[in-house]
Amino acid sequence: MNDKGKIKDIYSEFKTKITELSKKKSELIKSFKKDLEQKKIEKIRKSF
Amino acid sequence: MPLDNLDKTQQGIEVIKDTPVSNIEDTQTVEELSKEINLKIDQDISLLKNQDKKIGQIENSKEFDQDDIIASKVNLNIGESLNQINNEAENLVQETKDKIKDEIEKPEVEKNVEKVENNVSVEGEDKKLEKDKNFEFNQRKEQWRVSARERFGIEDFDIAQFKRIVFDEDAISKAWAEGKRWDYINSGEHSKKFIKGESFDQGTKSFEVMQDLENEIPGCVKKLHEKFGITNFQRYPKEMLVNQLNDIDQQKGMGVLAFAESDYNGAFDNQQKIWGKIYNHKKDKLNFRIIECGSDFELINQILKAKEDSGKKVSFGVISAHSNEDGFSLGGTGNESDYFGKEKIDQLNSEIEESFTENGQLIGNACSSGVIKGWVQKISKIARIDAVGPDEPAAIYDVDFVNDKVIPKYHDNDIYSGYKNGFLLSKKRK
Repeated sequence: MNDKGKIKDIYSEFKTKITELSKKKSELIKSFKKDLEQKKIEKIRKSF
Repeated sequence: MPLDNLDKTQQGIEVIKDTPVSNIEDTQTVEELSKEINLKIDQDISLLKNQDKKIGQIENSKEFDQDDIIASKVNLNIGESLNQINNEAENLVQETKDKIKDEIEKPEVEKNVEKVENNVSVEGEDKKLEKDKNFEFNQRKEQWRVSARERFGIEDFDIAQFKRIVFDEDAISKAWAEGKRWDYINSGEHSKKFIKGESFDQGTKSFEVMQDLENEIPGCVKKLHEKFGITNFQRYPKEMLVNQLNDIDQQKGMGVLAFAESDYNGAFDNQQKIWGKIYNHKKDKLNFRIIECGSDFELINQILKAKEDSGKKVSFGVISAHSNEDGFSLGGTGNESDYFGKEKIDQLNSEIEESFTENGQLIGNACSSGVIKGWVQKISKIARIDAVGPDEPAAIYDVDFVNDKVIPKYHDNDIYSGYKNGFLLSKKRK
């Protein structure tokens, strides 16, 4: 493989890993929001 | 606006797309390609960090109760998880950029080696030396890799991995999150060059000393770092480092050699013999402790800790730092806490007074620290001790002993001032 190919491979590996991290972060944010929405719904139910 | 009315980017839930690398334009040269890819890496990390804004939006949203927000953050460990992801990403960026840099450098080195071997007589002597240096530099880099493979079983060695093995990853992540220290192997300009692969001298020496220490006492590197802040292992005699992990002899007094973490020109890298000489002369009477500090808080805290651990005030001390007459620098970050000046000495008046034994001795291994009305004189007055420092930009190159006192010799003109309780006691001129 030539040098350009190797560099592209390095980036490809990076891209896969950074995408995974980004997904992790997105999941975290979604869980946070979901948890808050759940709490909100519980409060509304209790108020009935 | 309710959060669900925002699009995915605004909601912060849009993730980085794993686009195939074939989409990258096949540019003319390897250098151009690496430049383009480095830019893409910066864009990716920026996108990842941008996702954090979503947390802020949720926190500021009136949709949810503030108590619920706090409770959820704690329950889901949001802050720490985000920090972990960001730190992991920063490591990944650094590792990837280093790998790309290595790929670009490889062919150049091979070419250089070929030319040095085949065309020595054609090349000028300076160019030959430069190429030899390049070759040696890459050989040394290879030695690191071999050592990492043999010692830790790491096939593709990089500095980030090394740090994870030797030190406590959580502590490093925390320090990074605080933006306090950029690395734990070395400090300041040297470390940045070192990590980038531009300066292996300090790093290699530090690594070698760490290896020796680990061979002698497994786990001691981590202890020395955690307990005394040591990161620049190449600066100190091994015997002293090992010794300070032993129990303190309560019958002896306390000697503290305080070093700034930051050293932009490696001034403290060749003074081991001086500290060894002082240690051998005074070790029967003193427990010695080497401390490394990156901030004002760390310095005072470590000195007070030495006093607390030994049950005795410090009777002999050295401050090694880059300095002028008004104060000295400890860390390499440029923050206010890096600098220990006369104003801070005034603020910490009682702590300084409490730290030293009356008639103790302090030596400034710091440029211009001995100038009249400088910081050495100020400490001498506050702590009621003997103190000495050079009158010009200079460091110590040797020491003599007169009874219990250490008499430093300073580069190049050996001009210094000595104080007793703040009063000028002696002044040496060339």
